[in-house]
Parts: sequence; structure tokens; C-alpha cells
Amino acid sequence: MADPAYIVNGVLTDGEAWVAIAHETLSLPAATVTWISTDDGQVGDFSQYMDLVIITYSRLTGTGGAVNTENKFNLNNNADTSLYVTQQLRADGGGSAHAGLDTGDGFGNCGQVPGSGADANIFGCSVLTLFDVNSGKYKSSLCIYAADTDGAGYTGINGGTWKSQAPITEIDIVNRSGSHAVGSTFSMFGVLPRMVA
Amino acid sequence: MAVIEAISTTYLEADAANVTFPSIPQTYEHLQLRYTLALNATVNSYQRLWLGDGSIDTGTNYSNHYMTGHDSTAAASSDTGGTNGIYLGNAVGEIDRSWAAVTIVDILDYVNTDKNTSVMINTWAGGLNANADYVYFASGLWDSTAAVDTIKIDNRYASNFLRGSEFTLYGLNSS
Repeated sequence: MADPAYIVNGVLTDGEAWVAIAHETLSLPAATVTWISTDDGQVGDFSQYMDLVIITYSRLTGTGGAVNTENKFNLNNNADTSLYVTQQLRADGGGSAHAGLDTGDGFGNCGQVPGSGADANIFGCSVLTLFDVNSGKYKSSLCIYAADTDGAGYTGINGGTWKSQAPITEIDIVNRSGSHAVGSTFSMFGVLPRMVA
Repeated sequence: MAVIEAISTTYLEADAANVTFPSIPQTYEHLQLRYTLALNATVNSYQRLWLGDGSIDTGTNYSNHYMTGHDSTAAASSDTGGTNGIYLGNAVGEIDRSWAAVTIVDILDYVNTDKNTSVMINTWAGGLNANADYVYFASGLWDSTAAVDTIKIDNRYASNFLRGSEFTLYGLNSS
């Protein structure tokens, strides 16, 4: 088994603090994008990172549905509706500010994206950070997103907490209004702390 | 050369009133501060960012501009010339020690002595009580053209950062 890049000839070093873990560009519609920790000490092993960052540029497939819809994330296949909390702050399509506290859902919110009813070729952006993913703290997140749909859309920031002290070992990005469309991209990065004094 | 380097990580093994990053290398293009923290008292407190060149500037040379989402209330406000540095958002007093406020602060062009220093802040502080559940998006200004080589984070009110809170400062390189 090869060492991670930050171990050079058996010595711990501080190199790139951000490590590209995985990337998906969908060639077929997908209901879920899933990443599972490889648990092998390699790049895909979540247990070595302080934070995880997920960058998405996506929309839903099909036609005729809602113009905007919300991507969600699920951690460790845990859909316990009592454990997820999301505080939203966003600008709606009409230009008004909106805030809302979401509980009682078995998912976290990772931002609005264009739905199947949006004009063709419009995608929405989001940057989701999951903090201190291996700590004994509840797992909190920040998501900044932008999804203008040419006359409608949303931009905003979500703060969220999964009330579990378990380390994060699996992440699913889903949309319960449909499937992620062909061409949607999903990238995950690991953020390392300072490791050498 | 790494694009993003971890300059320093402070993991609190005991409760602490503040965290300071001194002697920040002047070799990066931008800085990013990322942390997760909790408080060791029942008092709610917002966190403050102080900047300095050689020593921390605790004067009235800071301004703030921010948006908050709390339950169903969206709000915005600002101030200038106050005595509390740059606001980093509001952590919740001890309800359950597992809750942690999370924050990302971007500090751009910090060595440029022709520009004042502006920062961008994103914070989430949950807790599921009346004083908790704030998402916070803000800008802060240090009204000084001095380079930044020292950063300090503390609490406005009588709280310490709880053991287990973690702070990391990153340096971003350009080409």
C-alpha cells in the first residue's frame, strides 16, 4: 500500500493542504452520487482529513417539473429525521430575502439547483463544506449556492448540523424531485490541518 | 510549491480565552482561517477577529457589514468605529458540548500596504434554542494599509473556547 503524498520516505510533511479526492461528471442521469471512504490510508480515506469540501455544478434531468429544486445530502446512510438541522438564508427569485429553519428531515440541504422545468443548459453552483468530519463534535456544514434560472432562481447560504458524533464515512448527494442530469459535475476535496510543528 | 498550505493548526487541549496566530509568513497571496469551536460557559457570545502588524490593533479601526438568518428572520446590519473588532458570528453558550460553531474567513491580499484589509466571513452556529441557529454572511474591514502578520480570535462576552475547539490558518499561493 502506497503512502499518502504527505508522507515522504516515512516522514510526515506539509504539502498541499487541499487534496482532490474524487470527481464525477455524469454521462447518464443519476438519482444519487455517492462517495464512501476507502478506509485504506490512501487519498480516498476520509479519516485523514479535517474538513471535506464538495463542489457541485448540477441540475435535474427531464422536462416540465419545477424550475428550481433543492439538492440534499445524507451522511453515513443515516436518514434519522431527528438528527438533521438546516438554517437557510437566501435571496428568492423575486428579489426578497428569506430565512427558515428546517428540522424533521433525514437529509441536510445543499442548495437550490435548476429543476427539470428550467431552461436547457442552465446549471446551479454550490460549495458545501463539512467541518471536522472525524471529531467527536456534531458534524456541521456550510453551503453557499447560486442557481439563477433566467427569471427565477435562488442564491443563498445554508448552515447545517447532523447531530451525530460519528466520523463521516459516506456522503450521498440526492434530489428527491428527480435525477441529476447528464453533464452535472461533483467534486470532493479533503482539507488537511497543519501536521508538522 | 503547494497552492494551499496549512500554516498553523491550534487544537485546544484546555479551555482558552483566545487564539492567536503570530508571525504569519508574508509569502502568500491570501489567507483563509477555518475553525470549529464551542464555548465553556452558558453565556452566548460572538467571536471577534483582531488584526495587526507586529501587535494586535485593539482600536476602533474596524467596520462590519453582515446578513443573518435566524429561524424565519432574515436581517442585515452594519456598524463602524466600534470597539469589538470584526464580528465572526455568534457561538452558543453551553447547551450541549457536541454543538460547534463553524466558520470560514477569507483574508485577501494581506501583505499589500496600498490596500486596507477586507475579509469575508461565513458562519453557522446551531444549537436548537432561541439564541442559536444563526447563519451569518459578512464582510469586515480593518481600516489600515499595514500588512497583516498577526491574527487573534476571542469572545465578546465572558466565555472561553472549549477544549476540542480547532483553528487552522491556511496560506493561498498564486502563480
